[in-house]
Amino acid sequence: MKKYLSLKSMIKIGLLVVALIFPLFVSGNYVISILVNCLFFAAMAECWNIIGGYGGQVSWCHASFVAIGAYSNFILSNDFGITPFLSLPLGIGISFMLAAVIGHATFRLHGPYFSVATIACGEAVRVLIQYFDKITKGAAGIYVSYKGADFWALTFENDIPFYYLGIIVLLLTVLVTYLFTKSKTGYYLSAIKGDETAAESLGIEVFKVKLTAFQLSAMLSSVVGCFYASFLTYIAPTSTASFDLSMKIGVVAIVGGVASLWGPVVGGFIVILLIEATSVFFGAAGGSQMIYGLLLIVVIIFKPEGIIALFRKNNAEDSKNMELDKKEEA
Amino acid sequence: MGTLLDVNDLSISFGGIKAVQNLNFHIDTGEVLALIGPNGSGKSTTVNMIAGIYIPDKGIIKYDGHVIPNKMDIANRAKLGIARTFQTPRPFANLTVYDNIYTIALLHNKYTEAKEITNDILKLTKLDNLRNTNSGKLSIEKRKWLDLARTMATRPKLIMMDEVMAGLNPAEMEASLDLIRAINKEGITVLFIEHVMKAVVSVCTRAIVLNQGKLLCEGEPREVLNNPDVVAAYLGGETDVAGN
Repeated sequence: MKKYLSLKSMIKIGLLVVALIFPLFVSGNYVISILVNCLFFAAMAECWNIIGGYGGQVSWCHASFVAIGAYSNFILSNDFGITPFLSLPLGIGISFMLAAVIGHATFRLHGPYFSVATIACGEAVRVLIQYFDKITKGAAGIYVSYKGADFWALTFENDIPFYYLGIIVLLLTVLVTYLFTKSKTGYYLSAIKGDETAAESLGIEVFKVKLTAFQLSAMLSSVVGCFYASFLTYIAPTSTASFDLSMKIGVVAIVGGVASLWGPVVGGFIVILLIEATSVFFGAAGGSQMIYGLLLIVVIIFKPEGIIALFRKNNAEDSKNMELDKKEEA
Repeated sequence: MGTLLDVNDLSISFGGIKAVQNLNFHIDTGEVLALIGPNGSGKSTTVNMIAGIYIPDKGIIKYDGHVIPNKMDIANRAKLGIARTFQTPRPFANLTVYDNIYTIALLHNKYTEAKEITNDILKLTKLDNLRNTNSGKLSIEKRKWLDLARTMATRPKLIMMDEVMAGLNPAEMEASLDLIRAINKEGITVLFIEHVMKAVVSVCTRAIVLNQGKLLCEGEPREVLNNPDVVAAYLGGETDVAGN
């Protein structure tokens, strides 16, 4: 039995403790609101990571599922006075079905063809949200109905409760992703990413596995979207269901590190903090977009496994194993 | 010893090219049957039709006494016990050697059983030392062994080995032949598609020869390989292709 925690575990626990007590040392709402953004983007990227990272199916329509969670929350709470917590099953259910429709339409395609098809699906969802304006208020968007601080309505006087909610939601997505990767479907999905033809020839039902992973990723995204909407207080198709948001979610995961449990978390903090910092520095002149694009290019060229790979042990073990094998053969 | 695979009147064309024409052959349970022929003779196409990658234009494939419907997909054929390797090995390069096998073992077993089966296969295929190595970093020989190891995890009755000797040096070839014998000893029937004639003579009990999509002849490997028609079709000369 291990007597002591490993250094890695101690670092993780230390970071969690720091995160939990951090608001005690910060005055004002600005820093906290940026961190809440980081947490929610990390959570959204973690959801994307299930299908985009572990499955290698680069989807650019995840904003659709975030929007479904967000709209389920605001429509039910504003029009029917139902707590956002009870809107979760609705968002999850619609996302599950939408993912099935998108999956059936796109999973016969591969690589960039699949990605382009998901862009079209995401845009179709955005247009549909705009079209059904009697329910969704169309392009005008919806504001949260604020009736004072109320936990069950997810309305607060400052962003500190959202900060803790963000941590909980992020840890939930990390836990679900971890459990998924250790499940049979998780293993099959990784095999499909490795070689789809070989996986199928060995008995893995490729379409079924991809669809299951996509649906899980979509449902989880809608949960994050529900809480993220309450933090934003305003949602609209051009922001919450946009291609820009889908891309940002994917980029956060790619920069942090795909197919890695903590990569999207690292990416969430690096990308969002960088965007905030450059926005302050460059203002609205588009300089921040340039830096953001530059970061993506640098990561893809020099560290395609993402920034998290900087913290991984090197490949010395592989070489050692191969040398040992050769010696035994000799 | 019954018939495991029975191929009747199998044909397929791609555009105007008749890749396989009216092919008939069978494999008995426990046999190691060689399927040989010059490049473009239809060997891999035949394997692809049995595996479900290509749908034949005509003909029947009977496996274990049952006709395999043309519509049956690749994964379901694998579940019946029809496994195959590829000319170019296709490891799941993002996974370790252990996880490559464990993932497939999970298809038919619970987690703990899958672990045991994976360990047994690692020992059988002599990949135990490389269990934690990333499969993308393996040598060609070990990649081919990993392909075989993964097929073993599917609980196969039949393994179609597509040019497992290609690109190997003589020492690697000997080791690979030992592995194939060990796999056959486990009661697994082997369809051995190969260009290396020494290997064919060494492990196969029977051989069939394809030429231009048609069955040219069949029989005991050494006899078949010395058949003048086969020599002419295969090598275009009169050399003893058995290597004597």
